[in-house]
Amino acid sequence: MLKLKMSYVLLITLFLSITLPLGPQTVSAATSEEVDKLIAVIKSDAPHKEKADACRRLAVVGTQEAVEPLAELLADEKLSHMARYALEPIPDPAVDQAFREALGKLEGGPLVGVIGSIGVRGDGMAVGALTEKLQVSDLQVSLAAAKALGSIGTSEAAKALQRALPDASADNRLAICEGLFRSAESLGAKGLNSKAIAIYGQLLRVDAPHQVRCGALRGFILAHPQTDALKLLQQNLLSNDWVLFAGAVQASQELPGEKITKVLTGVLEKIPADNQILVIQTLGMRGDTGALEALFSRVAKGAKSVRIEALHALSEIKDPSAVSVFVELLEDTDDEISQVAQECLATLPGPQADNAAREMLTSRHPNRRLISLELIGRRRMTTSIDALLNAARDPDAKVRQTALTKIGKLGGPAQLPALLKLFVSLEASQDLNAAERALRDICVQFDDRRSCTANLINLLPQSSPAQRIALLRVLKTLGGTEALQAVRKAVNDSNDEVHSAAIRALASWNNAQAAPDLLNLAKTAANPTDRIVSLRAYLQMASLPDISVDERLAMCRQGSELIKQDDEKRLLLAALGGIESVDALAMIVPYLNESSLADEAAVACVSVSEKILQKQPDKVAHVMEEVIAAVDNKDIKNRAQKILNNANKAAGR
Amino acid sequence: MVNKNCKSTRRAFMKRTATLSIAPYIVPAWVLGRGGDIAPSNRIVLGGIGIGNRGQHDLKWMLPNSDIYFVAVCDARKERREAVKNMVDQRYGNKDCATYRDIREFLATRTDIDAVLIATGDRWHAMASILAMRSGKDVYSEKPSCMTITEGQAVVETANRYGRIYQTGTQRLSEGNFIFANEMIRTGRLGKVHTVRAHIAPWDAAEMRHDWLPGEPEPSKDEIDWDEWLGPCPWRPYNVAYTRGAWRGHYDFHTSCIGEWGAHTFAQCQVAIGAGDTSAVEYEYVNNPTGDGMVTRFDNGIKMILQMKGWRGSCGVRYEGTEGWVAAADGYSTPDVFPSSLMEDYRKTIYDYTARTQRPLNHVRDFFDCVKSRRPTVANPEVMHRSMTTVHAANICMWLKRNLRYDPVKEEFINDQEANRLRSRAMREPWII
Repeated sequence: MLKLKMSYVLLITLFLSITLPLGPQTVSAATSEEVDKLIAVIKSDAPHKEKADACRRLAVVGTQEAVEPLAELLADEKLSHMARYALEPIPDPAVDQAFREALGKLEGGPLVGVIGSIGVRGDGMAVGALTEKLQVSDLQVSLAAAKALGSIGTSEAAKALQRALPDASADNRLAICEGLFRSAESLGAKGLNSKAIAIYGQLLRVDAPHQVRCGALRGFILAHPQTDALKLLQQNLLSNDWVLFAGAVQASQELPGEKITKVLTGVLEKIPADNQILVIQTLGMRGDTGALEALFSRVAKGAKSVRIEALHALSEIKDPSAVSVFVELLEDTDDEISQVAQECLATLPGPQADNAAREMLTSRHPNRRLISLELIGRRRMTTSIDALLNAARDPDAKVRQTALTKIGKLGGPAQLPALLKLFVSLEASQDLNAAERALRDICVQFDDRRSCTANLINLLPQSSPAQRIALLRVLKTLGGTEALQAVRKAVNDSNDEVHSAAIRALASWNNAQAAPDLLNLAKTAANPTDRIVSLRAYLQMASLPDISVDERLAMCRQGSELIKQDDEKRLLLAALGGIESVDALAMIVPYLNESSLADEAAVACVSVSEKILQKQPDKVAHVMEEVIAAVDNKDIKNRAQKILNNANKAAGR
Repeated sequence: MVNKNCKSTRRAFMKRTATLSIAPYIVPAWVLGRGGDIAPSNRIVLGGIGIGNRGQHDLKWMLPNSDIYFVAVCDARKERREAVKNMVDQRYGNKDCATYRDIREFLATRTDIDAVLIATGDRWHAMASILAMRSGKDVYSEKPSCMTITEGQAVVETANRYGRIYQTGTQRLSEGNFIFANEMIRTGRLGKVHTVRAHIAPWDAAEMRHDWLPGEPEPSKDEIDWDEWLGPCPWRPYNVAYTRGAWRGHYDFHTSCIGEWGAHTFAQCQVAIGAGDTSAVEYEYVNNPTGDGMVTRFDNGIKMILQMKGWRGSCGVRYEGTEGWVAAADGYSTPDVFPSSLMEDYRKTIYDYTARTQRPLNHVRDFFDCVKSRRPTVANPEVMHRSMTTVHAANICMWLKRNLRYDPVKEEFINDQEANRLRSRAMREPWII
């Protein structure tokens, strides 16, 4: 039975350890022994630093036992702060008592600090003593007392501050205001709103800077019951005083409810345009549909800045009823208004806006149809592909081409058959360009690239030369053996333009698969331009990092036999410079003697040498000496010298 | 009563009003200070506090804006005061930029200043922001913007209390690649997001130094006001190295490798997953010096993993969902994505973001626009405080070497008194909030 109980306990323990890694815990890493040691340090004649460190640790682990010795340090100008640093977070009433006792004994900086700590701890029993400190001649002390009383935030503390405010000097008025704000917030949080209201009212009446008046009005409104808050809001939204108007707007941003919205819309007609903008902005932020009618009327007429703001606010509210307004304003005589309306329509969620965008595609006006296509694209209306395919046969060329672009952006593999059907019906070069882009966008989405490629290849025989050229370019993007075969075959096309397009496709093939074709063309093509294009592309492919070193070297050797011009030699050097091989180095070195290529050859030598330095230090050293002798460029010489030094070191010289 | 019985509704409402935004078209005169008088022009009068290398970078970004005018700089270091004055005077072709050593004098006397750029070391960011906002200034503060959780709370409270505009310098919240990444989550292109990864700085450690550099004779207050430089931090003997950047890595002055970049990347991640108004609720201790690999969790179930390596640039974020992932960092010309089709809408996505939010792809411009419109900035106090709370909690997890749970509503650790004590640090007099 005991064994069974033990197993049960073990199981529970195991369960808790697995399921509650962050479970409740009473934690104290410190031992009383550690606390005792720390107390001993602060009581000793240890150096300042050691005592400060002990205080820092006691802030985390200190107990009631540490309070008295720490309190003794409060009068020490050097350690007073660190004593508070330790005391302030200790959750023991002895700390409050120690701070209160210190209030009567300290002065200057230490007193200011203790007052601050009392405020942080919110010790209501210190209110009387702090109230006395409000009146002292030491300004820093009275400022600290005002803020501490505010942080304590009891009715008694608030009364002390309220009494002090009328006679406050310019120097401490802001601190008392700060204390009063804190008190009002604290009392309001406890449900003592009438007291909070009295404080905010007093702050509103006092001669104080704009931020105090603004904050006071905000608090005054927020603390009132709703019916009164509504009246206050309305009254101050109509104020000619910017500060009060701003405070009211801020309060309205924090108060939910349709009635607040109603007050905001109600004042719109009665306030200047600048003020309207702030109120309209707030209506947008609130997202309350109760503002729609007022915003519709602001959108229709008035100052342009107000109309634009109202459009944005409607966009924020996201109500479908705004769709017709946005659509109507697309025709506005002011371009900026119509542009903003289009933006709003593009970002408004919901099927109503989708329908509006689609409907515009049937408009008689090409510009309207173009706007529709832009909206369909920006709203990513993938269910409108059929409409786009129809638009791609539009009589207006710009509409056709835009529709094709959007098909590419919104379509997927399922749209390929329809797009290919459309493609073979196109002849105009700009239409074909747009269709080619769309084809590319869709083809690259295929998981099964070979089936996509097969579709394109099947289309080649029945296509016009211009269409074949476009298809070859898409095939080049797709890559793969079948695509390469089709392009290779097209090199022999009877049409010169198709033939050239096929060679360009090979020349920009995305891997070395096309290299043998290019080498062959470089050797055998009848047209000299084809030979040059092929050779250069072949040499560029020799730089591709995904080919083995041996293969790249072999390509460089074969290419070098065909080279005639400096430009091709530079391509060869660029390829060799990327090959980590002593053989590459050997192929580069002769070019150091060609004055027009010496710098490029030197850079290639340096590049290879950096990579093989540790394996071939002797050969590298020898080549670097040649480089230093061959070039004038200081940077290259410096690099070569550095490598030479390292090579000598690696070789044990 | 208006305030009663509607906490959740009001919270949701406030979240909406803080998140949504519209364009500014006017310059309300009251934001331009001057006691609420109608402004003679629509320029924002700007001042600077603690403008060193990073601050000068910010200032170079700000000065070309034709609607701001920089008039004064306050710094504990003469060398920096003068450097900024020279830079500003040279730009404006005059000798008008005023200099101040004492922040209290600066804020009390320059009532003409509408907004300040704060780019001190970390130790001063929150205190300077609070003092400036209390003086009626709007604030652009460099990050990390607070040293403790309670400092962050005080920044939020002060901004609300006085209706001030505040932007923390997490500028990637206004940059195209990072916005694209966030929009991929918002628009559902990644499917259900389960994990986000936040880059932490690849130097320093979570555990910071507590030693003092050797004491040196203090220069004159005019040269370097050491007491002012230390501000609310514990006193220690002067050593010039601190003032030249060696304050980094010291517990009293810095927020560790986690805060150094987490101030950016946590904010980015939290905004991306809709947690800009909360903090992570769970922190799993990792037994290494940096916090690399720490798993934190939000109450929406999404994990945020602190990741030091595996990025090609700085301040990277990576968001992973059931349908794909996206990653961005400073070194990326475009975001890394899977599937690659996500990139097809790259430009459109960013364009739609700017159209939808009416926010520029320029962090300081967003601040200036908000100073005028009074709408919340993209990196507003709440975003700063909540993401920095996650930073501080992760640090505390590392310091205490144990898992932690945090209640973001009560803003306290659950059943861990020691962790709760580390939420604040007593400030050195007279620099008390």
